[in-house]
Amino acid sequence: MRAKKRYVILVVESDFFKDSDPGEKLHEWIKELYGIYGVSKIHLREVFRIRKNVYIFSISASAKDFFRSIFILDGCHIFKVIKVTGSLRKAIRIARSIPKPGLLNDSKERN
Amino acid sequence: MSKKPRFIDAYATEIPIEKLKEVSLDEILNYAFEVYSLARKTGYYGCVIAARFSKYSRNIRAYSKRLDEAIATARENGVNCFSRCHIEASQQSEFKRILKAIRFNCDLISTSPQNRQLMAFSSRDHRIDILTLIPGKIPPFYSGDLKEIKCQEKFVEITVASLFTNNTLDPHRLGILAEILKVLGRKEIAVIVSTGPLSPYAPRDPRSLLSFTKIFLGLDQAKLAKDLSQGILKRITENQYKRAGKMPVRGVLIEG
Repeated sequence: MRAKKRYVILVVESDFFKDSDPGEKLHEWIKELYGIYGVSKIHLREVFRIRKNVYIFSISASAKDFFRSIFILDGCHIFKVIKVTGSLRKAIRIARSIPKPGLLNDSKERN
Repeated sequence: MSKKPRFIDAYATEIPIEKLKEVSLDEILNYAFEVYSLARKTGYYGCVIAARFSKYSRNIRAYSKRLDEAIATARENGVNCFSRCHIEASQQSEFKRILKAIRFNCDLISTSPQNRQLMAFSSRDHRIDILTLIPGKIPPFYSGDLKEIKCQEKFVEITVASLFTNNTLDPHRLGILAEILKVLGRKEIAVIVSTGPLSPYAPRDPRSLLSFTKIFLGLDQAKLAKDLSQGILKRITENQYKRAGKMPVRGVLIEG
């Protein structure tokens, strides 16, 4: 049977990952909080990259809370979770609609 | 009407009393703008800026008033921030003196009781809105205290800052809190999670806090989301009415 997935749209807010991969950092946090059990349960995988700072990751649907909770370790605001969706098509559509970094900050300030 | 919860960071940051003595109104205002923009970026609708009082002095009233004025000015400029006074006295007499002085100068009053006497007092006194739990320093809760907290619709607060030691999550502290929150959950007491006195201000995404507390502390996600948004906003509004003289007693609102 096919496992249910969720797609997480993440924006990397800083220049933290010039040389490394954000997926590695996420895996590190998962291991820090939940160990190997967490890694196997969440089953994190990078599926799409819209621009250099907008990523779509797939996670196991039953481990959504496990995944969201790892961002308690993000004290430096490296990541911003934009949305968790049930279909990749919707995730891509949302990710494509995210304005570029400069524009993103401007629009937030206006709000 | 939008269904999206408007999360409030109920303990966004803290201005030390030494700073309140020195800084001008404009500096507090700028600080409030900075904190608010960071809170908005993280996903909060608004934030509460606190001042901590641990000793009584004659100027306490003036300091709390200054903070409140700056926050009120920020609010007039469209910033959703509120003022809070956190009392951390070790003796009840001093606690009461501080409380009397700051009472009408802030939107929220909180305390972190460190002994049994203060726990009994702060859970019964109507002026206190939030009881902050600091793992390792929590005096025992008795059923009378819990009954009063629930009856007066007070909040019990956990701060993210208190969960960390040396930038790592402390499993011992999490264990202590999970035990206490199990009892509070059974009694249906409102619990909130906020950032706490972290320096520099490092708010966490409110939804990640909901997930984290669900998994590690066994809190009900829907109830926590409601308390973190509507619940705390309702309490702030009530206090603002009280301060304006529009609410002589809880439940009675003078219109017009």
